[in-house]
Amino acid sequence: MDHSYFKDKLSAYLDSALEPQEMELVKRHLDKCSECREHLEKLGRFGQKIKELSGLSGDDYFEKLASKIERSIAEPQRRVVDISRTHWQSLWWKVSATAASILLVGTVSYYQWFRVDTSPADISTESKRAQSAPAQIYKDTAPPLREELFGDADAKPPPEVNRQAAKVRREAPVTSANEEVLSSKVVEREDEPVGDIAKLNAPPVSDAQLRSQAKVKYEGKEGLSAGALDSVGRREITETGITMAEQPSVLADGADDEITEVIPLLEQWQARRDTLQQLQSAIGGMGEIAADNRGQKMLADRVAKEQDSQTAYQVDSNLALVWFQVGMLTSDTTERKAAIQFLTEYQNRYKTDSSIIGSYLRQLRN
Amino acid sequence: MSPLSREEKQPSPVIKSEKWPNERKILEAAQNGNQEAFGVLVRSYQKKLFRFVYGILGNFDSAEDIVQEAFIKAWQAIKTFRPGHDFYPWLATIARNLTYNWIRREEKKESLDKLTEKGFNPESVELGPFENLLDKEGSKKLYQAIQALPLEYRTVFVLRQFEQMSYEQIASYLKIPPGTVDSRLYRARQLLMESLKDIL
Repeated sequence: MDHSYFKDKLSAYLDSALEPQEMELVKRHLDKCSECREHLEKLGRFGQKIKELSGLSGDDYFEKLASKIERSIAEPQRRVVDISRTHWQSLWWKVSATAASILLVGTVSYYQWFRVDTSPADISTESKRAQSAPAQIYKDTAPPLREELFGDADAKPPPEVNRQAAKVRREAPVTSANEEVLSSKVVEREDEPVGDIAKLNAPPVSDAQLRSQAKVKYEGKEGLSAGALDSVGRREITETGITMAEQPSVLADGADDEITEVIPLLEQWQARRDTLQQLQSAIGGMGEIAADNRGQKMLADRVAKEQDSQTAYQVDSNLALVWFQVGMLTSDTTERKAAIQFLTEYQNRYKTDSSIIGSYLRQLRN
Repeated sequence: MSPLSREEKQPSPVIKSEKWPNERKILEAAQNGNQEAFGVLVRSYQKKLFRFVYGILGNFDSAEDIVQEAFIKAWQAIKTFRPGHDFYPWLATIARNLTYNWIRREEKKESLDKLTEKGFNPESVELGPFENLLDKEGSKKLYQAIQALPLEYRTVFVLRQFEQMSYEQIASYLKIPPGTVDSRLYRARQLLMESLKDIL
């Protein structure tokens, strides 16, 4: 490892943010390199200076700000997020449901006692109608992972009723006793839509946007072909709960000719892993790692295509990413252990990628 | 999520008095509805919180709004605060959540190309009313330099340097790999050290 490698690590070394082996390596280098020692000291002085210069004065201003905050909290009905509205809306629903039930019972009793000719079907319809009004706010939605794809800021705030309805659905009924508890839940991300209903209310996104979002997420990762990126993006579209019925344009427009049906994401990564392992054996990479090799003969064709273009290191690097993905997606503990084993051996062999692989390993072990 | 690393626990800035000799007592009183006690917490932590929020946003009015909002939310949720824990990390989490959506929106508008397009020009940064909160020589230059950083660098720098968050905590908050935190922080420090070499 050359000098610039260690110099680049000094910032993280100062923050004790390197893996233990790397910390030890840098420490040993510092014992020998005065230039790096000087740079480390400079970084330390810089940090100290930041602490000295970053403090604020402006006591008059902050006293006014504190008073303003105190006035705000002293106002008894003020709520940052309309918890009171939640409370009243919830109360309204409860009152109306109760009233509807009383009306229903009264109606049924009236008809029974006075024998008005009303068929049981009419009564059950009335019953359902009376009960369905509050139930509308409990409408089931698909559990999309839109947030993962295009972030919170893209989703417009849902209509107030639905946001509150989501909270009613998710939380216990609002009472004065637990209002504070609910308010603590809304502090988490005030401007973020919450719950399934909020995700349903997120603005519709075209398939091109979703695909490009997924590509942004995965692009740059070694080992993913353009076709794989596209199929990953389209698989994510499907896994986010947008079915063909809901978004007929998804998967249809500009479909990749290579992929004719949706394959679960884990299987895609597993297939990629198997291809690379075959390649690894063929060109002498790290050697076969104990794993659940699917042994699919059809892999041989794909292996042959890739063999010409990749070196052992490239294959191992691609495999590192793929094993990480498989390890994160799989529920098979043996497969996850195999992922951890591969990445550990990779980390020991290729120390330059240590911090990234360290991050992968931490996530897999959690 | 505590923003304080294991090595850098800061002494509490809480304004102590005979009535409330330590933060725990203040928090107990606040949780029992004592607004005066909560006012002590506001005065103890508002500067630190303002520094962090302004450091990221670079907008005085927005920073003031978020700081105010964070304290109000903290008051509303004070009964859920777990005794025995430090107040500031919890308060800072509320402020970070309020800042988060702003960061995501602004990241889409601004890019790292800002450096190549406009160069790194701290002298051109106007701090506005924030300048009135600085009384140390060199503070203005520091904050101008921080605000001149592209948002991606500035965010990780402020979270690390002002809030002492670990790389993993920063990565989790910004939803980026720890390696990216490392590289952005390294670059931010390089730029700032070069820019501030006269005062370092």
